[in-house]
Amino acid sequence: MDADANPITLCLRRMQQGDAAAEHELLPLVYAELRRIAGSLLRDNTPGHTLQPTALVHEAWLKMAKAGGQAGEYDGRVHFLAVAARAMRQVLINHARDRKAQKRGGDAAKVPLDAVLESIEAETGDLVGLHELLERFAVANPRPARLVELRVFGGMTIEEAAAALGIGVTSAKADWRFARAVLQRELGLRGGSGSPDDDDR
Amino acid sequence: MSPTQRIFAAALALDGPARAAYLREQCAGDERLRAEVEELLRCDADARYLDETGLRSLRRDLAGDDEPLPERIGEFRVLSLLGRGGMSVVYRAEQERPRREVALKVLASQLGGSSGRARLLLEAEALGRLQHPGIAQVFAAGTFRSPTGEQPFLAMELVRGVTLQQWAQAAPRPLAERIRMVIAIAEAVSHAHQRGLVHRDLKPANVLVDDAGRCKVLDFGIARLLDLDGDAARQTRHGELLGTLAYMSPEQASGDAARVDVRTDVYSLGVIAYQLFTGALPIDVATDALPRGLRRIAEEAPRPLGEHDRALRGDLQTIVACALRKEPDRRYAGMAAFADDLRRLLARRPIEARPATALYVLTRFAQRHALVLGAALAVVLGLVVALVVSVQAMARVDAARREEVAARERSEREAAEARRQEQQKSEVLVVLAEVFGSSDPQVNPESRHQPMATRLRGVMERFEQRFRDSPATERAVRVALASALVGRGEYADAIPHLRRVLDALPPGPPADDFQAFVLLAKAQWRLDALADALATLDRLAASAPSLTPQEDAAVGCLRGQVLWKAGRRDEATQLWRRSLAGIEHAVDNASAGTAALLRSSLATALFEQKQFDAGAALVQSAIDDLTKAYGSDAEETLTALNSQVAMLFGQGDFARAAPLMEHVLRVWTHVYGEDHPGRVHVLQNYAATRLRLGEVDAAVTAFEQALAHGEKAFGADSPELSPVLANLGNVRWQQKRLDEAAALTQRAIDLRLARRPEPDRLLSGYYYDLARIRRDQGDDKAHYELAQRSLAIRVAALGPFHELVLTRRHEMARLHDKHGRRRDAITELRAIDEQVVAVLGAKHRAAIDGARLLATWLLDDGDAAAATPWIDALTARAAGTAEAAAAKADAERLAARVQPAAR
Repeated sequence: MDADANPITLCLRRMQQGDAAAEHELLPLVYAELRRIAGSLLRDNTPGHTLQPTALVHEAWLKMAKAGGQAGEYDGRVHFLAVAARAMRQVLINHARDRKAQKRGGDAAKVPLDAVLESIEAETGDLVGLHELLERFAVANPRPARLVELRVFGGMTIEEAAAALGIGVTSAKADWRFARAVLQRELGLRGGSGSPDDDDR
Repeated sequence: MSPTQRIFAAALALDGPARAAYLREQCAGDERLRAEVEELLRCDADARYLDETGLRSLRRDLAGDDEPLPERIGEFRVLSLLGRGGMSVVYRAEQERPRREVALKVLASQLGGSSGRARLLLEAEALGRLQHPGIAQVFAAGTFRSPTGEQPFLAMELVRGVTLQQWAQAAPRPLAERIRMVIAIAEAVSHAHQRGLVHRDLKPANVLVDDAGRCKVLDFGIARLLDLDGDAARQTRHGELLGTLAYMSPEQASGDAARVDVRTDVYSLGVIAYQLFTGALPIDVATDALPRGLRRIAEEAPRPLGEHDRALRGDLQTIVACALRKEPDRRYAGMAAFADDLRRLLARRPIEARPATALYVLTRFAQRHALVLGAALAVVLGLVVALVVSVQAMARVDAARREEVAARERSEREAAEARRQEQQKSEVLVVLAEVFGSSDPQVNPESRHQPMATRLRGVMERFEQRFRDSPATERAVRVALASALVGRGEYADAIPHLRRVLDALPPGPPADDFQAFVLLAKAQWRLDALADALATLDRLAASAPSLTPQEDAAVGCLRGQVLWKAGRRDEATQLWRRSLAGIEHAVDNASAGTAALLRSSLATALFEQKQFDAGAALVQSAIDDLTKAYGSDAEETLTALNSQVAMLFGQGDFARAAPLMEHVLRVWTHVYGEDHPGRVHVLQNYAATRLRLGEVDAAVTAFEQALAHGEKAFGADSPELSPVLANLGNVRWQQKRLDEAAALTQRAIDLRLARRPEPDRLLSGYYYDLARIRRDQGDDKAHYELAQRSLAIRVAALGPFHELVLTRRHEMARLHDKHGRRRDAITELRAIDEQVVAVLGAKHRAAIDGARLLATWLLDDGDAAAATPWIDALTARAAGTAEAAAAKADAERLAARVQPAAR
């Protein structure tokens, strides 16, 4: 396949060249790709030495990188992960809401997405709650909110997130600590008063 | 940046009094702001939300790990990444000494200091002692220093194969093959159990199947090593539990680690078996949130296997249900007991999964009995089972009626009804036990020599009295008795019972009626009352509109056999084909057996058309399946073997046919005794093989035995005797004992004409035989007349241009000529010539001779113009054959006659 023919790769190039519109175009593409991979995971449901459901984002990147010949290009990967984090957030929140609305549905991507959801919620607690909290938090604090998104939904390191946001690592760390403190306070997890696991029960 | 964040960020860099001073200064007067920042700082200091460990795991899960492979782990050189789970990473690695490739599993868990390491090594040593072809061996264990600390690893046998699930989906696997796979897994796990090791995490992903279809159980005891028993929360955290929850035992689901023992593995294998047999999970927790999933596993009863597929009802359902019981005490005590029951199932012996009540043993016994006896009985599949079913069906009807009654009254009546049914069942049992126990030829050899009907008389009298007020029971017992009678070949005695059930008694439950119809049709078929048999099957079709595909095919098989006997061969063959197509892909035993019967029947059709090679292949595959479905000594299997003898005969392979025939005769007589009607056909084929081997005396003896036996079994006027009579007549003809031969053959014809006048090849053959005898007796007129009748019948049966008809028509042309009817002779040859060339080939003797005769006869008529093309045809057709020279000479002679005629 011609590298240029992959629309995701094209968008990433444009993003690297500073084309802000490209990110908006990329989001739905990555969203669709994640859902597609989740669906194929369900069909090839073989645990053990195979793909973990949670590796969706990674799988999407590998696929895209292979098609675009970009494996190893650090910037490309970070930009991709940044978009993927947002796409992943949408996929998961939609899925979580669907699941709440209709306890049992016919969604083809249900099982692997459930696994991703459970996996992330093991770290974050109720993901829909976190999502809504982040939306409110982002009004006054867009950059720290975005940082949380990149790390929680995109699995990025603080360095990668700093690169994606175009800020220094020190600023990113400060943003992170602030966001985390606010979230912890809002979730009622004040110092010494319990753990996220308790919230789960 | 908000003021809060700005102050928070700056304060982070300070501590103690400096921070306090900074806050006081920055928030001058704004106590709310200061309180907020202070609280946030407290939250930051006590950060328990989104800690870096958790985020690292998220990063690995979501974004993948770009970390390069470690070069070495312990003494192992890492070659590639095989896979990554939440709790472990698996590498393909190379061991130096001994040099071999291994699967190296690095466990994510931290070990608690030196005691943890000691425990790991101890466990690994125990695992290393597990040496079984069905278990992936553990070679070594140890720890190594990784960036995150001291990490344990295990070096295991590198297994190349697919997971059990992939194996099951890669190709259609017959049920028996899937059952054998479960047995193999059970055996492997049992080996570990005997050494005190429990797997704790059996699931399809942990069972690999290699190319040869051998299973390998992976990751023995790993769950214990990781301390995962009952630690559902911990596993979920790593996204692993969702894949394994479905296979988790109730004791594990309820976190009761102390109760985990070998029966935990029994449960998990039960789940695997359930999934292998039905394609579904017993309790599908995939869409459940974790607490609900755990609760369902601990509490919910799975759907019985039979609800997925009717063919899975019965013992297999019982066995799997036993493995899946919630209480470990009520499960199989171990893998051996589980595997043993599956083996019993495959061997059709009583299983132990439930208390062996009298009814249960009898059910199995009767099932086996029914399977062993009688082609149509394949349909019946256990008469007592059906009996119980019918009692249940009755209960359902009653239940519907009772809906209208008031609740209290209903429960009283229900109790009474239940008592009545129990009573009835046990009464039925007594009768059945008396009858079956004493009359099954495989159980009681004595019974072979005594007609069952004789011994039954006393029993039946008692029985009729006892059940005067219970028509439903009477019906069930009569069906059961008739089934046994038909199985023993006592057809005439079975019919009154079946008529009673179908005509005299009030209509019964569908299961009874179905059996009664099928048994009646079979008895009628065997007694040669073919029109009656067809009428019975028509009645069945009208009264039982919804049959399972297997029942449908079995009825089709039987109807085909009736049609075949009635000479309606094409209809029969088509019906068999259609019936076979209907069940070809079914996997249950009953369908496999019926399909094999159908193939065996179709083989007969091929034999009839002299397609011996195709027939032999078909009958061979039928024999294999029949042996599996019914056993090697069942009537169906022996009948198919008998057909195989016929095929070998047709192929001219007498060396193989003769010993096989002796085997069939020996087993048949041993199992079914001297008096079973089916023995007539076996004896007859045996005689034919002797004859072919040149042992004329032995052949005559066997034919005479068959005849005497057939007269007793079918009556002296039965058309069943015709083939024996004709064969014996043929021998006598060869011995030049022409009067005897004529009498025998004439009787064969008479019996056929009286009861079954339909034209078929056999009847035509009898006339042909008789014609030859008359010819040798010097009666040319009778010869000519009988030969014409034989041909007419043959044309009616096979059509005018069948290969077996064309040669006879050719002969007939010569006979016409011999008897002074040259015109008819020419007409006949001209009528068939085109088809002779098309069907038999231009080089066939009949084609060459036909050209010669036509040329000669047309020249005799002086029609040289018409004769010339036949002279050319004679040369052309004979070219390259053994007759070429003679034909050329003939053609030249004939051509010489053309010249003067033309002049």
